[in-house]
This record gives sequence, structure tokens and C-alpha cells, in this order.
Amino acid sequence: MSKGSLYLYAVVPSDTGAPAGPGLGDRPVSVVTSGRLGVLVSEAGDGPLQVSGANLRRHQQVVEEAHRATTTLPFRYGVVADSERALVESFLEDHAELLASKLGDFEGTTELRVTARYQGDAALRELLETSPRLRRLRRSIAGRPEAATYHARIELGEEVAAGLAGLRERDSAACSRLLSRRARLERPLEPVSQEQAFRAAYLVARGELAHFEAALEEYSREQQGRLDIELTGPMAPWDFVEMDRSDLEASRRLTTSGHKGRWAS
Amino acid sequence: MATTGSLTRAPRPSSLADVLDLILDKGLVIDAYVRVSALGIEVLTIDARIVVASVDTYLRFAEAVNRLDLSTTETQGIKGLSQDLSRGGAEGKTEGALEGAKKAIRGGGQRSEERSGARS
Repeated sequence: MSKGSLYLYAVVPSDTGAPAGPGLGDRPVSVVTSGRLGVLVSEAGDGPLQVSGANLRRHQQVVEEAHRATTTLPFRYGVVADSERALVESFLEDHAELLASKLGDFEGTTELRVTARYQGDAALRELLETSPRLRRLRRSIAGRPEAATYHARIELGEEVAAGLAGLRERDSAACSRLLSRRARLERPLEPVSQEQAFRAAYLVARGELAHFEAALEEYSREQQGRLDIELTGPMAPWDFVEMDRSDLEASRRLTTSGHKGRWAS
Repeated sequence: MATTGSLTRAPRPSSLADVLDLILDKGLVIDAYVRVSALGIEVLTIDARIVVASVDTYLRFAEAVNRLDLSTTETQGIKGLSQDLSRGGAEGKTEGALEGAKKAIRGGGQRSEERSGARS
């Protein structure tokens, strides 16, 4: 049994073998088990972790290697248990029912992310073509010096931003109508750049993957020349495993009688 | 990565911005014994957000629209516009993405506050 603190990658079924690839700091990954549950871990070493591209990618690689073979509940980057004993007693044992039920929920599923971007100026053109007000504002600015049109330009920009928001909403809803039928769960994600039309995560049964992809291919063909669409995955259900503190507190009340007094909230 | 029509496939998030979004912001997190132990992790998580509403954004949109040529007989401006529009997307594809994301965020924003509020 390891005495030091452990870096955590994912909750897995206890019969999972350790991934072959190395963990953070090239340390080997092993499985700590309790009952039917296991956690992929490596020794955390001393000192705080660095948030580096190499570390983040290593965390991702360990989780994804495991996910290709089994059900995984991935931990966020940077989660460390004080000791193997703390991990087993205060996490796996205390939350055994909740974790086992979550593993059951995710069995046979995988996550896909869909990202759509407007091609070139396609979105702006659509907005201008459909909005007389935008065209009017544009004309009122044309050819005048910048200093004289500051407020008009802001007004125009606001109008464009509002128009884009509406366009994004309509496109996102149309895509969602097609894909949500092929998925167990759907979660819209915030766009991470202005050019993105929409992003969403889908939890899909592995057996439904081909149907899901076919539906998305059809949608991409319809949107050709307008939207670029990217499909990422299959991957571990990062966007779906969230357990908030109330889940955990409720689970703790179910599985322990009396508080051990170590659970700071 | 493979492309069919306008659909691109990637087995996993490849840009650092997407990796950050996934791995720093998603997944199980548990307090107390199992602690988040990484330098500056909160700052990074909150920074990697986009805030849509800002004067800079509006002015950039206005500039893009002003340069947009609807007649299609003149080509002036279109090239510059598509470069403007693709810049953010291209940043999302590169290792420099985090900086791009941070720049996009300035101006605070309801969403960041909601997210960090929800977490506490």
C-alpha cells in the first residue's frame, strides 16, 4: 500500500487492468480497489502540481486509454488523495453506492463533442441579407471618418452580436433536433471563440455510434458552404460525470451512520 | 483527423484550449480528502471563458460588417474580413490558444461569475 498522496485519473470497475501508458511525471499508473470499484492512480510526488500542457495531456491520455477498454468516470485535472487509505475509506467506501450506480449509468456509453463554426463571412452575410436595419446602419457609417461614427459603429456591432446570437440559437436547435434522438444525454457547451456557431456534448451508446455519426454527416452535407462541423471522440464522459457537493453529501448520509468529523464542507 | 464533406473528425480534443476546457473544467472533483492541488488552477479555469458582450467586440463586428461587400462585383475588403473572422478559429487550433482565450475574456462577464459562483 502506498503511503504517500495519490494523483487520481478516473473511477473504473475494480476488474480494470492498469493502463500501459505512464502517468504524470512518467510514474506508473495502478488501480486502487474497494469492492466493485477501482480508481486509476499514480504517486503524486511532493509539491503542488503544475498546470502544463504536458501534464494535462498525460492526464487525458491515461483516462482515454482506460476508456477504450472499460467504463470510466474521469476526474478533473489536479485531484489528489492524501493517501491510499483516505481514498479507499473516505471516497470509495463512503460513496460506494453512488459511484457504482454512476458506473452503471455510463456502462456501454461514450462521449462525442460537436463543434460548429461559421465558414468565413457566411454568418455576417446572412445577417445583412435578412436585416434591413443592419443594412441601414451600415450605410449610415460608410465613408464617414471613424471619430464621427463611434456610437453608430457600436450600435451596428450590438445589432450584429444580437443577430449572431439568434442565428447560433437557431442553428444549435436544428442540429440538436437531429442528434438528440441518437443520444442518451445532450449538454450544450459555451462557445470558446466568437467564430463558433455552437458546441454540444452527447453521451451516446456505443452501439448507436454509427447512427449518430450518419445523422451528423447528413447535417454537415446540408450545411456545406455555411458551417464547418467537427466531431470529437469517442472519449470518456467528461462533460457528464459532474457530481456536485449535494450528491456527495447525500451519498455520505446514505452510506455512513454518524459523521466521522473529517469531512470539511 | 479525417474529413467528409464539411465534417471533420478528431479522436480527442487536440487544441490546448479544448484540452483545458475538458480537463480543467469537467470531470469529477471532490473536496476534503481528495483535494485539487494545482498551482493557479482556479485562475486558469475562470480565464478560459469567452465573454461575448464588450465594446471591443462590437467595434470588431462593425468593422467586419462595414468591410463586407454585398455586391460581389468588388472584392475589396472580403479577404481582410475572412482573415479577421478566421483568426479566432485558427487560434483555437494552436498551442497559443490559451492566450487567445484569455484575451477574449477581458471585460469580466456574467458567465464567468455564474460559473465560479456555481462552483463555490
